Amino acid sequence: MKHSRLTALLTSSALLFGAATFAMADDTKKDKKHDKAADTTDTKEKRVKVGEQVPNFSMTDVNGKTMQFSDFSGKTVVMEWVNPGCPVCVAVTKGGLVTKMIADAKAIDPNVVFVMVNSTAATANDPKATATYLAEHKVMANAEVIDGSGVIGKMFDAKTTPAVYVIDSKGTLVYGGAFDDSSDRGSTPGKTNYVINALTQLKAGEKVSPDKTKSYGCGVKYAKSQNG
Amino acid sequence: MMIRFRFLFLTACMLGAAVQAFSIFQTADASTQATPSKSNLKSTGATKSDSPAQLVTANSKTRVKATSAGWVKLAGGETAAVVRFEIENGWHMYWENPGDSGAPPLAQLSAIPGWNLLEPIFPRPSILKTVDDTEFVYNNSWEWLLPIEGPAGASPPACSFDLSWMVCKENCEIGRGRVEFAAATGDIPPVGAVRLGRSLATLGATATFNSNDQAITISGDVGKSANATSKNSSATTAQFIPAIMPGVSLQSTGPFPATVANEKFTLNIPIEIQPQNALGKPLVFKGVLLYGQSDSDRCEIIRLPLNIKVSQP
Repeated sequence: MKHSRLTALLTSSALLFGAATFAMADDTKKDKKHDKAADTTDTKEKRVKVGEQVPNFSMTDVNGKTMQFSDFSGKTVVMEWVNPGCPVCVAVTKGGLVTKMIADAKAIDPNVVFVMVNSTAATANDPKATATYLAEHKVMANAEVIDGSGVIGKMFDAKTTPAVYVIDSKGTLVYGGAFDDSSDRGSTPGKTNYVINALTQLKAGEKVSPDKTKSYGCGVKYAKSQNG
Repeated sequence: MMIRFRFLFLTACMLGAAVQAFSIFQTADASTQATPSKSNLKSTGATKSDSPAQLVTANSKTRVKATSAGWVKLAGGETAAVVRFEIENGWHMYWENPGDSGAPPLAQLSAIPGWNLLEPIFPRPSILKTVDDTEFVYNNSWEWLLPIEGPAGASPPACSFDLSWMVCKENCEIGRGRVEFAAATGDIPPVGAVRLGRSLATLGATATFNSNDQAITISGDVGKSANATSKNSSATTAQFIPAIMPGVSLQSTGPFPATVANEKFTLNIPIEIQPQNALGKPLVFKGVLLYGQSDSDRCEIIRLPLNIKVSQP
């Protein structure tokens, strides 16, 4: 009798523990799902402005590898929108201005991360073209991202290629806009490369100025959303 | 503090498919002339040819043909070269502020001692809206005024302009060309005597900056516009599109529609002053008022110095 009571007690305890564990696991799953949903919602709806914190988002590179923006946590990140089919983008890339910018940036901050993003629907569907384009012009970026859905581009409100954004090591967007102040759309280098300007000021502990300029170049032709 | 400016506007517009215009402005206390262009395009050397104006070179891939359309005299006394662009069907070029993307054409005057290219004058653009973008563009054909200044009393010499432009459809292309102009001889026709100048008028819209509200108020009379426009026009609306204004941020690319009542219109545009983004230039609110909906309706250039000091970068 005693034995059967003990067995019943143990069995019910095990069941309770099991149920609780299952419930917790399920809750954790739900939380994870919720977090993911929250991330997606944030990315879709929020447009990050200069001075604001950049929320975490997922990125898929030209090889199909998925990464998180938070993977670069603690580092200054430069994002440049590219399009192999845009003559302005090609001008700054082929002309060596992008490789120079990366080299100059690394001299200021060896840990700076460069992320090249292609959000133009027509070319974003061909990751190899973007990879080849960047490789041909010796652009050594930390990540080459294909944003076919345009979610990342729209979050930054990237309108042109090339457009550049600088996020400081605390995750705050500190600059957005033109690549440089070229008076002829990048065919000849401008006096000021705004990324280098921002990195120099960040290193000196200064406020980035200018923090917003009008970008020039071809429009980013985003994929048409289901909502039109 | 309310700062009020009244400007003399010479406006620009277009008849039929070709839009044209120019404008200078005058403040209450001083007449202000456009400043010389500081294009960094490489000079290509003086051209002394007296040959008829013609397109000398052009990028064969481009969708645009650029030709000389002669000289005109502007109301302010400057002389302007008129470049005519013809664009392949379906493609477009850009206004001085392209909108969300694009780039305006660029010009460089051949190096002729004593002569400088002033700020080019753009005619009324069309508004091209897509789901994601708003662009200010030209289709088909348009004419661009390139004012030059030289020694007092001198007539423009034979010269050439090196041009480059961005032309887009689904994709974009960069085109380049050189347009030569013969020396101006005899009386240079006033801009009003040629097609692009037929519809010039002073419409007297006013722009004021309310520093407390951080907003620009533009007001005027669409009736004046309708009266001054061609007989087919019915310019009963007005909308503003902004030029590029470093250090002055707007809530959107535009256009900003005006409220019209009894032919009077008022337009209130909130602005955000961002001295850190002025690139060391004076803060100026500027753009163009588009009367009516048609490309052939009138427009009027608005230029309002904000008299706020900005530090050099």
